[in-house]
Amino acid sequence: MRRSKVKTVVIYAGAIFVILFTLTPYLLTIFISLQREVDLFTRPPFPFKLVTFTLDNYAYILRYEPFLTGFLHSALVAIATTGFVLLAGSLGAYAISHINFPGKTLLFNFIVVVYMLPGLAMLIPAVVLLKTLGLLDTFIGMIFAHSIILLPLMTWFLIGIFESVPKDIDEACQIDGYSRFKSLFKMIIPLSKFGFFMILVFCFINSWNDLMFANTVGIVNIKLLQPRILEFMSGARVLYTQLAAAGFLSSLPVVALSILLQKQIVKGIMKGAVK
Amino acid sequence: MPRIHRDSIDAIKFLLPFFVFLGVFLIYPIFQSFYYTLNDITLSHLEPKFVGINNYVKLFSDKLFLQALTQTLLYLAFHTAIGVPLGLGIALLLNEEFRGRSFARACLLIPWSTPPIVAALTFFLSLNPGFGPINYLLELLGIIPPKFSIFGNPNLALFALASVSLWKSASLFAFIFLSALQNIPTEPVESAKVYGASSFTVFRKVTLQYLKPTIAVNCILSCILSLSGTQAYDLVAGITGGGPGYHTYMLYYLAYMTAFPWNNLGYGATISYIITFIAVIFAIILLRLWYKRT
Repeated sequence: MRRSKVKTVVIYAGAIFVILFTLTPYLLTIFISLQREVDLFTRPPFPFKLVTFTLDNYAYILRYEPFLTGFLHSALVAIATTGFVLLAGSLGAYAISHINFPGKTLLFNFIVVVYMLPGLAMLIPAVVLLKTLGLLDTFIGMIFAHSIILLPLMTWFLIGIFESVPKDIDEACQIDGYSRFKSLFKMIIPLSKFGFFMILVFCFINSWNDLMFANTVGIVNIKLLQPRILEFMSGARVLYTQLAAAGFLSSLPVVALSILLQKQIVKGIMKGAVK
Repeated sequence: MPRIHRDSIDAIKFLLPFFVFLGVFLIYPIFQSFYYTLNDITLSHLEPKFVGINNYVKLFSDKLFLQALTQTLLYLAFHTAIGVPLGLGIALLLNEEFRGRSFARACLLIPWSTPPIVAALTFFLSLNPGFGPINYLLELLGIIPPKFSIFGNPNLALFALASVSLWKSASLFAFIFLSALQNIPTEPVESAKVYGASSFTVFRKVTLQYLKPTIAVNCILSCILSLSGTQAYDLVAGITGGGPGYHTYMLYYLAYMTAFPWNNLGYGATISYIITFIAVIFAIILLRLWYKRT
C-alpha cells in the first residue's frame, strides 16, 4: 500500500526529531571533550565557530589515577554482582517456574512488591547492617548492596524467561536421569540463552550505572566510577573539557553494549525488563 | 518418597541462596527500617532513641518537606503529561516502515543506557550559560537573554530537570508502547478502514482503545520514576544539588540528604516510607480509574 505524501513527510520529520532529540546532548558532550579549554571559553561555542580538535583531554583522563581506579572498581563490582545475581537468581527462578511447591504465588507476589519499593527504603537499613557487619566500604559490601535491588528484579525476569521453556523438557531430562541442577544448567539455560544473556547485560548495566548506592556504601577504599563523575562535576574548579571526556568514557561500555545487542535489548525492554 | 514432598525439598534447595541473601539483607532490614521511623538514630551512633510517631508528626510542620512534596508533584505531573504522549508519538513512528528506522531505534538506546549521572553531565555542559551550545542557540533565537542559566532559575530549574529525565525515560515509554502496538490485532483496524473511517478516527476509536492498559502502565511507571527512580536522585545531585535555594529539592533527594549527609536515619527512613505510600496511592488511583472506564 502506498502512503500519502503528507504522511511520508510527517514520518521523516518525526524521525529527524527523534534522532536530534536523542543524539544532540550526547554528541555535544563528545565535541566538548575534543576541544581545548581556551576554545571552549571563547564565544560563540563550537558548532557556531570552527575549532581544532585535540585528544589531550582523553590523554589526561586516561592517566588520571582516580578515574582509572573508579573504572576498574566499577567493572569488578558490576561483573561480580552480575555473576552472583544470575547464579542465585537462576536457581530461584527455576524453582518458581518449574517446581510445584506450596507458597509459590506468595513468593512471586513478594518479588513484585519489592519491585515497587524505592531503592532508598532498602539502602538505609542495608547501610546500617553493612556497617554493623564491618562490610561498609568493602568490595563484598558493594556487591551485596547492588545485589539487594538486582536479585529480586532479575529473578522476576528470569522466571518469565524460564517459563517459556516447556515443563515437558525438564521432566524428560529427569526421566533420563538428569538431576534438577543438571537439567537447569544443561537444558533450561542453554535453551533460553538469548533471554538469559539479555538479563546478564541488564544486570551489568544497572550495576554500572548506579550512583546512589555506590556513593553511600563506598567511602574511601571503594570508589566507583559514577560517584567519581559526580565529584568532578561538583568540585571547586570544574575542568569542563576533561569532565566531558570522563563522562563519555564512563558511558561507553554500557552504550556500546546496548547498541551491539540492539535487537535483544529492545525485545527485553518491551517485556519490561527494566526499571 | 511422595512426589509433592520431594518437590518441596528440591524447591527449598534451589531457593536457599535467594532466601538466605534476601532474608538477611532485605527482609530483616526493611522491618528494621520501619522501626527506625519511630526513633532518632544516626549512622555514627547506631543506638536508636525511641520517639514514637514523632517523626511522622514532624513532617506536617517541616517546611522543606512540604516544599519538596509540592515540587515532586509538579515534577511528576510534567514528567507524565509530556513523557507519556511523547513516548506514544515515538512508538507510532517506529511502528511505520521507513528508511533509517533501525538507526532511529539505535539512537533511542543511547539515552536509555547512558548512566543517569552522565545524562546529567551532558545537559550540565550543553546548557552551561557560558559555553553551552544549546544555551547559545536559545540565545540566538531570542528565547533566553545572554548568559542565562536555566538550571539557576528558580522557576525553570525543576522543569528543566524533568526534561532531562524525559530524555532518558521517553525511549523506555516508547519501547513499551511499541510492544503493545505490535500486539494489536490487524482485523479491527482493517475493517474500520473498509467502512471508510479516516485514519485519525481509526487511531482514536480502535488503536487507542487497545493501548489503554499500556497508557496506564506507562503513567504508573512515570510516577515511580519521578518519585523514586534512580534519576530522581542522580539528576538533582549532579546538576543542581537541590538549588537554586531549595527549588529543586524533591522527596527522594530530600530523603537521601536527610538520612546520609545530614545524618538523620530515622527521619530519612520516614520520608522514604511516605514516598512508598504515595507511589502505592497513585498506582491504585490509576488502576481504579482505568477499570471503571473499561
